[in-house]
Amino acid sequence: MLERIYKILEDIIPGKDYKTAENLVDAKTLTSMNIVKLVSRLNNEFDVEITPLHLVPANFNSAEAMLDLVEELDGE
Amino acid sequence: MTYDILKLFSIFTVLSVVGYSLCPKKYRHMVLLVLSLLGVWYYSRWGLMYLIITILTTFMAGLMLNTIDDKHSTKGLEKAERKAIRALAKKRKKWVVFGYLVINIGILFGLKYSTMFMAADTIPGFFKIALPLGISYYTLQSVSYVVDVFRGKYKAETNLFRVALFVGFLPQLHEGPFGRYDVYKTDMFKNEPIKKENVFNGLATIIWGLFKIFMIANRAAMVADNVFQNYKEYNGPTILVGGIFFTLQLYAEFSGYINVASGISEIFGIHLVKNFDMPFIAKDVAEFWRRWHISLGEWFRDYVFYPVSTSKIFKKAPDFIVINSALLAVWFLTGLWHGASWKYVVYGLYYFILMVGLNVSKPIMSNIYRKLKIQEDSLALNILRIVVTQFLVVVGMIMFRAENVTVFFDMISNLFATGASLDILKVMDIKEAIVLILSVAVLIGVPIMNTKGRSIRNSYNKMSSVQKYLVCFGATCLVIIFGAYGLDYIPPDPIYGGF
Repeated sequence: MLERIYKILEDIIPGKDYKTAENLVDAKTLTSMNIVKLVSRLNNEFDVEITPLHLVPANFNSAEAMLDLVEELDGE
Repeated sequence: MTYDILKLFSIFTVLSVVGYSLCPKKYRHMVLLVLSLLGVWYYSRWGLMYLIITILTTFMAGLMLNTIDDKHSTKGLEKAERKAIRALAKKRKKWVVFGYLVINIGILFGLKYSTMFMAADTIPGFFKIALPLGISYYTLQSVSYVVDVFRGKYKAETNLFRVALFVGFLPQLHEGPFGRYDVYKTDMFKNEPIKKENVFNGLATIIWGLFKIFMIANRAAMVADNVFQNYKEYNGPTILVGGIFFTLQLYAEFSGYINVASGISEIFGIHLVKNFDMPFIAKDVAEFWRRWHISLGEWFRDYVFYPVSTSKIFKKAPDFIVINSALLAVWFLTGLWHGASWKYVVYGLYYFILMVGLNVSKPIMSNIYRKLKIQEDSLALNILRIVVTQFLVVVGMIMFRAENVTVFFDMISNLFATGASLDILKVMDIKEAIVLILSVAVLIGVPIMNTKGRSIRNSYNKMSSVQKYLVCFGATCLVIIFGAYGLDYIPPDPIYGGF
């Protein structure tokens, strides 16, 4: 699952080391527009529904945080 | 109005300090609430009535959302059942939010925008009053509370007076900033005693704000007003200079009032959110808006951009359509928020076009740099980006300040025309000009020193009380002696205070 998230991130903003990145939003690597693209890809890829409530930096600062979010929504 | 609002703030601060200090700990926030409501009443009797309607509907909407959540518990249920119950609860909660929005956005539109869309004789009498103090600020802040409760970010507050203070806290009503309930509630209701360090910090922030308003904004306004009132006489460079002076005026005034509001709040241990972060070093317009009026930008991101771009209507649409539709909604509303005039709508759409242009050109430019082997993050390129961005910002400011869209286009076409140059020394004497130059140097220097690790605030914090007192006293004397105000001086109205 994590590998699929890395691939989505690489498609949206290529050339970053997503395996070690831990502050993608706080460091402004991911802007609000990138987040919208990311949400659309994550929703389709994992069949979850990410809503505006989930769009906080803590959920998108790292690939692991995104994985946690997807797993949490998948269990709902 | 400059003096009116500062007078109101001064009375509020003095009475609040006295009342807050004498009041039992449990009720200290009530002192701030009562004096805030009195302040709104002093400013406009009817305005208080509309504020109370917003407070009551905000509180009631929150409680109704709580009740629906409690009645639709999904504990111990299977996944399919959980989903069905959640969908039902969401549907019911949407009706509550819808009703709340109809009332509050209706009031805002009725009072602020009815003249834009309706003939004067068809506007109902209850909307024909002076705009209540801070209606554009407190309405949006209240919306953030109700939507956050709807989204389940936090449970609604069950104490009416707490909601009332969050919505109607006087210092933030004039020019903001917008805060969120979960961020402010700890500070607002901690009811901590007034501490010496908070008073000194608050005073320093207030004096810094007054310095910006009286030493910079009021003087920059002399040049800006002259150019904008007589633009037909002037050549292109002078119009640009007028735009730059207006940008300086707006920044110094707006951020100055925010400092005054933050300083007053700081005295009571309430920390308002940051609204500016060196906007004039932005390398593109998107970054500019992440640094300018930050709380408004974040509000539109969280309550317009994200909901529109993640809505089901766009589920299968390409990213380009989704993002640009959401951007159009954001910039149309941002423009409209600024005032009941088509000029502001055009101002919003101007930024929409710039944002779309930025998004389209970014990958193209990256490709060009790669092919030409130009380092994308080089100092020269970054300086060029800053210059271009600030030019675009100044053009936007000319639109913002111009009387209407026609005047704006006249001014822009005059950018390439010949004509007289403005002799700034005819607008202000040499002493005024020197004070302005030195003040702007301080305005630029302080944040630069902060970024270099030589924070003025840190040095101030390390001083003894006597030293702090002397610094505050000296700085106040400087503003009193060198500020632009007085009987022979007509102060400009606070620009954002009118929104």
